Amino acid sequence: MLALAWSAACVVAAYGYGAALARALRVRFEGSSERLLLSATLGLGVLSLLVLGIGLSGVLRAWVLWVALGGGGALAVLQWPGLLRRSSPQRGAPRLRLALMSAFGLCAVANVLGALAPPSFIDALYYHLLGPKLHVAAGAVVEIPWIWQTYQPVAVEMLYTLGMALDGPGLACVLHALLGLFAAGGAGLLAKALAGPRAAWLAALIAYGTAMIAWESTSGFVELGVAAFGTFCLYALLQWGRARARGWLMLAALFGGFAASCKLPGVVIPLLGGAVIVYLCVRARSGARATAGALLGFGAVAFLVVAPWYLRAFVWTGNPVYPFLPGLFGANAEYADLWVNLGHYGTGRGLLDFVLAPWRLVTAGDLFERAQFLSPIPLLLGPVILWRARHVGERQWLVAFAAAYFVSWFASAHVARYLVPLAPLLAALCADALLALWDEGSRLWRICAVAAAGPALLMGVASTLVYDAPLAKVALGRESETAYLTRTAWHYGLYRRLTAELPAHAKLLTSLGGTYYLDRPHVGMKPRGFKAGAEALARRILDGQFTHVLVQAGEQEAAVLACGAPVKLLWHHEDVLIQSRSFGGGIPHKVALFAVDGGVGRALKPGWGPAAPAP
Amino acid sequence: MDRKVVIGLLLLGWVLLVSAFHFQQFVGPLMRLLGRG
Repeated sequence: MLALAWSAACVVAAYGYGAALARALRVRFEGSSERLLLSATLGLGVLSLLVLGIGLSGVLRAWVLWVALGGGGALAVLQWPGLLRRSSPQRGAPRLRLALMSAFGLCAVANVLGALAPPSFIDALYYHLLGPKLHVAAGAVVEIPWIWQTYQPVAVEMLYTLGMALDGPGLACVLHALLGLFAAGGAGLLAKALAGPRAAWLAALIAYGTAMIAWESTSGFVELGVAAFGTFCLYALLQWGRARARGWLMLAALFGGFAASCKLPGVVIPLLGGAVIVYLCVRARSGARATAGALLGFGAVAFLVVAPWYLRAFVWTGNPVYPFLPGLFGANAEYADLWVNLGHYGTGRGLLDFVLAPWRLVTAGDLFERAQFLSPIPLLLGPVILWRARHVGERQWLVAFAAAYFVSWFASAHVARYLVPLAPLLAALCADALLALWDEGSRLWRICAVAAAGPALLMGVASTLVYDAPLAKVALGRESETAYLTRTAWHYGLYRRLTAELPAHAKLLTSLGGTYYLDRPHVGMKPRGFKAGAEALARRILDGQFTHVLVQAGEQEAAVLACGAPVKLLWHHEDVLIQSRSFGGGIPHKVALFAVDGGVGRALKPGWGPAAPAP
Repeated sequence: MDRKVVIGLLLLGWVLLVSAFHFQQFVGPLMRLLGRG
């Protein structure tokens, strides 16, 4: 529970940095909720950059991070009077608002509690949290050559690094869960701007009260970062379109840059933001010079924010967007492999698949990895949203933005959770459509509004609670972490066994992913590495000074055995990999452990990390 | 028939149709959760 106190300290520091930056840009906030949400989210982006700088400087120590937080805290003390300004009063049905706020609060508590459970989802164990764990152990942001994802912009992982260094994985995951709460706040602000104060809590709950957000908040992913930064980028553009104050444009650029800093596909946000700027300038007949100025200013600031990430990848690999664009920056083996993995989601890439994708996402979610966890309300209200966007104006460009983002999603991997960044925007459009249906006054139209929102919201809140229940149980100490992780985390039993049996100076070469709980120095190897021939594999094992080799039984085991004398089979281990943390199901799995003969690892320094130095 | 009634009925039909296909996905997991699957 110390993690919750630390997370409050992080939010205060983030607010300090964000509010100071907004003040420097002369942004005038309308009320305290707008100020708090935008400043704290912006500040989390600033903190991610600070952690990157600290990590690349090789001084990733807790006391350095305390100083960084202290700086933000001091700025927060100077900025606190701004929080006293009240937001515009809420109007409308107070009971409905209370119900919406209560449901939202319930989901928020469940998600934050769930985030405190020890990490168990495979993607987090594979890289989202493994990378930060290795950085903290090394005291620096280090290169992890066997995980291509770590070459991407990874701003959320820098917040994970901050959380791990200060407290542990609980704080790390809570920081990401907070980004989800801020993103929902962004949905509320967008809805308020479009349809008035009544729409705010409705939009926030539509965006937040889904099993998808519960899954995201509790699994150590990164999409809630793109969602929060992306939504506030849009909100700032909306405000800039209205008042033309340059501060809002710069704020949009900062948020756009931070959205692009969360993962490579996040660059779509500032790119589409640029298109919005051109559209707004053309509509306002601003002239070519003013349009170019706004676009250049926005682009330059957004690029400046994300540039350290591209530069880092370029220095390490020669490709700023590694492993993508191999035609431009040189071929790499990862590119083909990653499409083998990502290509099997969805139903296809034809025109019909594109047209049917919204329907299939909502009605056949398993094809897109749990798309049924997304809210169906945007599809249910799709006709109303499109009808309301028929005239030129804010709704129209917001709908066009959502459509363009969806096209970019369809062009990449068809994984449902990659659509999470759209959820706040769609929720705002849904709240606007619902109020339009309600205010029209016809009983039939009101029935439509209730039928579209009621069951979906109830289902969303209920599935959030069902999803979070087993995670909250372990977070509250009602189930032991070992029992929980043995039940839910891939290879947990195997990694505990290895940690217990192997000496501290052991160094493993392994083909298994998700090595977060393997507390011995190790290096990963892709399956293609076992097809390079026995001689190449033996050289890899000996040159790497490995003491042990851990591989899947079968083909990989045979390839290691073919190396001959240097390796000796120690044992086999059989495992069942969990399919769903909530609903169970398992995949049988068998691995083999080899000892490397010749004692090449004897002189290795004890320690943790991918680059444990050889003498 | 009034234009608004026609639009309302069409919209209600769409909402019910999509909802039916959407919520049927939860029947299996719910049964499993209740120990009947």
